[in-house]
Amino acid sequence: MISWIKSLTVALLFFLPGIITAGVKPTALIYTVKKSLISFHSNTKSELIKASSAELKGIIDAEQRTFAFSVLMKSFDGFNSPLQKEHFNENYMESDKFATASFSGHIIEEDDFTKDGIYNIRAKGKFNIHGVEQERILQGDLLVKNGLIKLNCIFTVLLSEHDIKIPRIVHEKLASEIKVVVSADFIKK
Amino acid sequence: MGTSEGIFKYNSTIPEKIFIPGAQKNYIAALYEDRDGTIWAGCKDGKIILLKNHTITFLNPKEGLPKVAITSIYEDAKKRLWFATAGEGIYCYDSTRLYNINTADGLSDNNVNCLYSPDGKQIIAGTDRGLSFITFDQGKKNIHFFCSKNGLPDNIVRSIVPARQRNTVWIGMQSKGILLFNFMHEQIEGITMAKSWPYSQVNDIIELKNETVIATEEYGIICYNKKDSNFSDKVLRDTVFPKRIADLQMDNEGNIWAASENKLVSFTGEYLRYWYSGKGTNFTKVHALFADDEKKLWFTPDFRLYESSTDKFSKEDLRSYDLTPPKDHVDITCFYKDKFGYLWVGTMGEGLFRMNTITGKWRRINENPIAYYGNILSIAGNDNQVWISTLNGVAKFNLSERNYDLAEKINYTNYNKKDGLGSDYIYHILIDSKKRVWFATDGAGVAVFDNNLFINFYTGKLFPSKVTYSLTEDKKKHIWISTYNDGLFMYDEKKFIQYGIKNGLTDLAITSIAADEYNNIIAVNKKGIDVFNPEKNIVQHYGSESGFTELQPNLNSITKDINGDLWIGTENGIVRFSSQQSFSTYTPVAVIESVSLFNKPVIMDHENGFNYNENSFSFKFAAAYYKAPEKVKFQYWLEGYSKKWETTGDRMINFPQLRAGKYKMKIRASASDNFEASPVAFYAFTISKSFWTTWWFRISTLLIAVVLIYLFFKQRVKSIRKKEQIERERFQLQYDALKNQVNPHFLFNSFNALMNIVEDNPKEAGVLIKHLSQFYRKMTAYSQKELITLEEELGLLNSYLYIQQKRYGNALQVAININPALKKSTFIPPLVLQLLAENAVKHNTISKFKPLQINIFSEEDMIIMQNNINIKMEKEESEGVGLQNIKNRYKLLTNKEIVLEETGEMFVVKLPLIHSN
Repeated sequence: MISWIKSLTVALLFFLPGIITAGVKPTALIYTVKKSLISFHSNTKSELIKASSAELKGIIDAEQRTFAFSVLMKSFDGFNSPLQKEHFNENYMESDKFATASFSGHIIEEDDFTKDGIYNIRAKGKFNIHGVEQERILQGDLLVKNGLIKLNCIFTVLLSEHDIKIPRIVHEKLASEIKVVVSADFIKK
Repeated sequence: MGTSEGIFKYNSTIPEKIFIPGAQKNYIAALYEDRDGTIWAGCKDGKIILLKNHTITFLNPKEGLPKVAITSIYEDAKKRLWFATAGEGIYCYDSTRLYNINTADGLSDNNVNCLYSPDGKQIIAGTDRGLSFITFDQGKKNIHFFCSKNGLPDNIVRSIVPARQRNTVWIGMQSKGILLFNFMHEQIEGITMAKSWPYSQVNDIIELKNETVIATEEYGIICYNKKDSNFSDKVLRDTVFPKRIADLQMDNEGNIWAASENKLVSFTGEYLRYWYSGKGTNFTKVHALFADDEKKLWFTPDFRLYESSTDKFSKEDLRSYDLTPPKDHVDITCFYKDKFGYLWVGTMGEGLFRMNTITGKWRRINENPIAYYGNILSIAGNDNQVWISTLNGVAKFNLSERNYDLAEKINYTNYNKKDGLGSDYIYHILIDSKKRVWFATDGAGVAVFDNNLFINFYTGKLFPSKVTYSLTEDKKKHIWISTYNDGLFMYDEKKFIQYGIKNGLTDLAITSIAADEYNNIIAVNKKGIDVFNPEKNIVQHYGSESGFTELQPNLNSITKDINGDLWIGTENGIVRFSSQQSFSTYTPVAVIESVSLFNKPVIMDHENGFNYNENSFSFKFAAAYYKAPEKVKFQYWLEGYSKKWETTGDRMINFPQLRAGKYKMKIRASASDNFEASPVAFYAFTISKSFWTTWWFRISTLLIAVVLIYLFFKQRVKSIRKKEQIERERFQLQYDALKNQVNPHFLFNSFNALMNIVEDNPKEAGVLIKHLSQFYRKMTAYSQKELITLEEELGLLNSYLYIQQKRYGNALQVAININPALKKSTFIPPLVLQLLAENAVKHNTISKFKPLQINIFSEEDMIIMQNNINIKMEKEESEGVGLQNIKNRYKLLTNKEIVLEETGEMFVVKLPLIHSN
């Protein structure tokens, strides 16, 4: 029952902007994620933690230059050990409490993304992970071609900014900054 | 300066271009200096440059940079930097993250032209769609705006600058001029030009005391006169401004800098200005002027009496009066307004006038002959008293109620030399706050009239100057006196203190003085105006550098209006001086621009410790003084090197080959000869000692030396002792040898043997005698030496044994087997073998049954002598010194020792052989 409500809110969370924009502008150019890969690893030489997920959900409104992305924390896999995954979900991210990470906002550049081309963009929005929201500007590349959008984006997450607590022993090993790599293919809705 | 060609630095000498990699034309769009002294430059392409300590870095945040021009930069109270952009709203940089604020967050427009924060918390942004008020704390943005629908006359806000009125800012707009905006209540407070603003876009604003200076796009500098609320585009007489002024800045000296297309113009703001009508009316030959209590300025250009307002000056407001018609060319020298409001006018040769300022009616004072015929030089008054000074003494008029009527005669008393006044030539009168009347005289220094008595300070030798010109009283009730060529004097009720060139005054021929609101003394001379702050001992000079060439001031042609502004009459017109405390005590501030070590720049905020060989320093320093850059002189003092300040005109100094030590380079600057009040810039550094000059090195060296010397002496003593011992042993040997020579047993035995054979075998006896003599000769000869060859020793031994064998016959058997090669090449102390043989003979029983067998042979480096032991029953007397002597001699001569072995049957002596030297 609870999980049902949760998934509904998640669905609403990233379809809401789409619904709104679609409502205002019926001709809006909405793209949704077809294929995606989001991975993270500790930003150190020795990869102390790493995982990836192919379940990034998201939409881009190419006309309004708005976007919304979301990923379920529990969809991450490929950790160094099953124990690490357990720690990740239960101790660090508290995935039962904070099921998703999300980023929504708008693109600063006033380029016309309805046209084909490669765009280096800065996306400004609310970045939410572990239930803590931060305003962020993230840089990325958009490739728009034949009704398809390819997105590549690399950014870092400061654990302290999101109140992600790590036991002291692990803390010394784990970088306070986690590097996130996102690539996603979008198709026109 | 941010220019189309890049950034320039100007410190009043030569503008210096700061190289920015990758910069193109028209690159820098905004410049800002933060509280830490870092210069931030915003570029046309959105790049952000930081300039600090001569180094340039580009801001490179993870978030990426704006892609549009940076239009304005501002630092808030949290040390965050705000960047306004043309198209992307505002960015806020908190030194880790870059945040964006744009229309999506509620900003009025993404085209932001200017930023300002009155309190450091709330940022006010001027955009193309009105004003936005922004707070951004803990990630929360709070934005609201004020635009045309709230009453803003023009939505395009070009500039926001601080205003003097509490809680207000000045807003400059694109087409509607300026307005005063209250940011607390968010409402417009003053002047709007909603209907017509003819002066194009406002680019920048600076508010002064009396005026607000506006930089415009097409009309150059516009001044808003706060007193009459008028705008004027012709404010400065001598300066022609370019049409487009992009930016205004005021420096620490009070100069205003206007940046335009291709030049930088500076002017003296409002504090010092030629006063003129703005319609081309110039007044020259201003011999006297007087600002009255009704904001009226009375003055006399071209020998006419004029009246104007001290607040504004236009031809329409100007009134002129003719005195003594039909002859209207009267030289007015002084003014005074009495308690009834009548203006007193003193003239040169035409006497004294009293005038009704409303009707213009006047009366020449004819009741007093010295006033009527005299040359009036000064008028001063206090309540009922009006004093005039002439070239024939002074007169005191006593006003009574009747004198409200202009026509009524006034009672007077005249005073001159006969009454005790030192001189009849009185240039100036001053009535001080204690109601004493002071006189500046020609010939008798300064005099005072107190309790109906004249005191002439000159005659009492209390005051050294004969000729005095001008008097004033400052706020501390000190009396100031200007003199002919002796500078200024200040009287503090006890003594007169002199101030001259050493205090920074530029000229001692001072024509008039006055005290301003801030206790500065304004001294006017032909070179310009000196503003002297006696407390801080600083003089600001405004001369040709400030645009006052050929000032030609007139004697005592100075007056202070009710606002505290000073008016000075000169041959070239009227100068208004608005004293401002911060400017009057300004001195050039020296800065150490760079420190070089062997001509390589040293990073100055680094630890300043250097090695002993890093010892050649040069210092570059500068002090901005835009008023008169060429007047700036420096004093430096390298503490640790010299003991006092040295003065220099250079902006660089070298110190080659500094010794190790603690140093502090101190620099101060001054535009006068007085450096005492100047702030000091310094750079402290240490040159460490070379290791061989450190105390531990010195001490250890000393210790080592002491030990070495000790060892040397010890060795030397040892060797001397050794030598001594060798000597002693040799003497012992010689003694022993000599003793042997006369050993009676040996001789007796030898003669016995001789006797036995001399008959039987006289031939053999002859051989024995020969051996005997050889033996004695050799013994005597060798005993002198330290070493002899083995061969020589064996020869001696041979002779000895031959003699003994003759005595003992077969009872003494000797076998010598020595490697012949050793005989000549090796050495032996003399008589060793002989002594050993002698010992063997001496200590053993020698008989046919028990013969003594002596074997001498060589073995490697040893010569070995062994004999069988056959102990004698009765011991021959022996001192036992023989063997000991041998041992000692070996020890001293070689490192080797002799070996003695006694097995019971055999006695073995092993003697090491000595190889040459």
